[in-house]
Amino acid sequence: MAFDFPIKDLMRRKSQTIMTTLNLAICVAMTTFFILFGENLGAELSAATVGKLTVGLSIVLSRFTLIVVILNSLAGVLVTSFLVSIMTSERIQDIGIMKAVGCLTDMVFAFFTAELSLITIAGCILGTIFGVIANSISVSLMNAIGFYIQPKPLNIWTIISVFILFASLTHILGIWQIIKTIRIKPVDALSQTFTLGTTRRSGQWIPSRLGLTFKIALRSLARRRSQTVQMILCLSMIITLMTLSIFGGIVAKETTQSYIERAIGRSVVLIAEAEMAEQYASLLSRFFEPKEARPIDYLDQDYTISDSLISDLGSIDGVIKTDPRLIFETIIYEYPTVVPDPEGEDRYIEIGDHRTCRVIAMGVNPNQVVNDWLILGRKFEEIELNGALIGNSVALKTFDNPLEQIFKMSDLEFNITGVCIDPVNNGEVIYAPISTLSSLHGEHGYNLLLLQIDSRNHAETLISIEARINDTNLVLLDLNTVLNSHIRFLDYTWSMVLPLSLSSLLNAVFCLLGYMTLALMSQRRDLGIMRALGAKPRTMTKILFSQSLVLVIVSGVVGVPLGLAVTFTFFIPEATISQSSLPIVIGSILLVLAVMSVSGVYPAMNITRRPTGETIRS
Amino acid sequence: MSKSDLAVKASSLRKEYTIDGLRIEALRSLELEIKEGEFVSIYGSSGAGKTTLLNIIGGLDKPTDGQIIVLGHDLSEYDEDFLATFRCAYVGYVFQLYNLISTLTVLENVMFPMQLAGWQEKRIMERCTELLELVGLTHRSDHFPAQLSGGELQRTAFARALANNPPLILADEPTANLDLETGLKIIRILEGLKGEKTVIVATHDERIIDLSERVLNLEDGRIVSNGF
Repeated sequence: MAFDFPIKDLMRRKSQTIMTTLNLAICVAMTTFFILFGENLGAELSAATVGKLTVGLSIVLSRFTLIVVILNSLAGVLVTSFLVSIMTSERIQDIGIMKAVGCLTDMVFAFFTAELSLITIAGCILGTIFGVIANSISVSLMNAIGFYIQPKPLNIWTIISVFILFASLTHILGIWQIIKTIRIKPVDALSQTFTLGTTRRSGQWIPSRLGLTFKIALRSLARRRSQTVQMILCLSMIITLMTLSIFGGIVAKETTQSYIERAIGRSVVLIAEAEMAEQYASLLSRFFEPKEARPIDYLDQDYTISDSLISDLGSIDGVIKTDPRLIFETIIYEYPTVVPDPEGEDRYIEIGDHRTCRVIAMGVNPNQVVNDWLILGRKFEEIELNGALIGNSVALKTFDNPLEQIFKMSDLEFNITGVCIDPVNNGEVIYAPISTLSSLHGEHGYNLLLLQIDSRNHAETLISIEARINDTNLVLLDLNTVLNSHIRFLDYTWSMVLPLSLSSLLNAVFCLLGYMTLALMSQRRDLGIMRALGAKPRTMTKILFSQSLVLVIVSGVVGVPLGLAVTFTFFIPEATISQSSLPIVIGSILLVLAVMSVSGVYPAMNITRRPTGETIRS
Repeated sequence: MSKSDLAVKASSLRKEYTIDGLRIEALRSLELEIKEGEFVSIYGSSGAGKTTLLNIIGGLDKPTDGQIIVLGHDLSEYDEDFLATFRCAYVGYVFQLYNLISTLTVLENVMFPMQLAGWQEKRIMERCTELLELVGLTHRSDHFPAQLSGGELQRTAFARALANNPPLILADEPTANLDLETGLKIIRILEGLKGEKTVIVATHDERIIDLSERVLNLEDGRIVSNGF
């Protein structure tokens, strides 16, 4: 059978064809965008990163992307196949007629499969185009607002893979639905009592004591049992996705911002020689500006800060904490180690390799650090001269299981006590006791000083500090400015991702519209009769709204807790959510559910606007 | 004849449909008066406009032109909400294809107009018992329409039409799809209404025509004979 007949048929049912195609296009676009945009941000999707010991900011984003992509793909394929099943169910009498006049089942199958293929290919092509455009716009937007993202060349294989994944899954599920529908006997399909997608007797159990509206609504849902169950499945999946997008997205955004805030510290100023201060600021900014830091000799004596000045600055009113540091660049060497085999008793396995990593080393007094950036393990104690904390990027790139491994630096071995998230040098940083690191370089002194100051007297304290360093070669840099840039970057990054999750709302709306259209098809006669008997248009709307509401509530009961569970179980350790965001999250989820319920009534509005006589005749 | 005695008065009534750009005139300048309590049959060939006329009298459809006054209400002036209230209170409609609500049982179908009218539950149940006894379907009250025969469906439709005790009963080919014996049961119900209510029946059934006080012959949207 050529494609011209299916094309004509699809054109005649424009609204349904557009709805199904757009639904698929949105899912393909979302998936393509998430993967491409994730790659551009350096958070490549990799199942291997999930479940590792280290948790970095990029991993939070990549996990978010991964989970959303998986759920989105599932929801997209389920919804599309469901809409295809609705389109096929609506044609059940046509199928009966085709079979009754001698059309072979194979031909009927070929006809509907051709329609499915047309919709799938159109949806996948449109979705791929939308996804690529959305990625380009987002990258350009990020660059336009001042955050440099090097656009990667389009990964054609990723795009092709997404296309093939959606096209094949939609075909498999769609064909399954078609086969289920076309198996009907012509005599059943043409029977007077057979209404679309309904079973005759189900719904008897629903008691008469319920109000008239709810009774009719529930019985109608029960009679289209198969479609109702599929619908609840699709909506549950979409609501899970939306809960994850809204709640998980906001939690992820706030958690990553909190990581950075804790890592840099609030009301912290940097005191260093001008060139060193510029270098440190540049190292901090590598997080959102991937340009290489200038090579400098960190151990140059000109950068040294005297103990007396440190103590002098520490005594200024308003200075809460002094955190003097020795910073330099070095290479660390991973040591493999032997650990008990988790899968076998009394057996041991070797983990790790002989990898190396160029890092920024920071000598610190562990009790004086202004950062609160630990995400795994513990800080080293002052007496642990060979203890070290490592940044999450070092942990991810250089170690298999950092807390079990050791590394070597300048012939000294260090035990890793913890992992931290630190934007310095984009996480390629290690912290060790100042005494140990200083001894490696001939008892070198401090070359960097961080001061945490009282935020209530911020300006006055800054003036006092500047007065003290006025006659030295040191400068003051307020790290709040740098911190705000980091937070703004994260804000923009998540702002690019979060609104796109709203497209899942569109999916839900299409899904409900499709279902309610089917519901109306099968109830049109009943609704016409009710109107003939004196029921007002709003009674019809109430009945259809009740059906929509029941579907959304049941799906919400499944989807919302599932979305919350996914967020907390697989997504973010030490999740943070501010009290001010909680009402926004709850409000957004309720609003989304309300929009979904109301959208289901749209087809009803059309039918109630038609004159009663016309409704009965149709 | 006093104007207040009129149940239905149609003046220059015209109804036109447009299907795919093709104009079809279902009723042409129709003039009609039916007294309260009168039993009138309308007969005519298929497509003559019988169902259209019944739909306009019943407030299901609006005329394209002309005036239709039913029980003192000019239906061409009212909106959908008022027409719904009017149908519920004043009209009992029996359709050719029964048109029962498929998701409701026999009892619930009969209850439906009374629930719309806001009757008390107790009164509804009493009236339902009375009506189901009248049409002989007490034993089928909990069955769904899909489980009933054609005659039972039509009798349920009659019980539902009488539910709110409306002054006007409209029946569109009530015996067309029934065998002789089942048709007779329906005719007996109609006979019981004679003199009590205004009854307008579109039919080809000679037995109903014999029962009528007046017969209107409709052809091509016009009344060509009016009398017995």
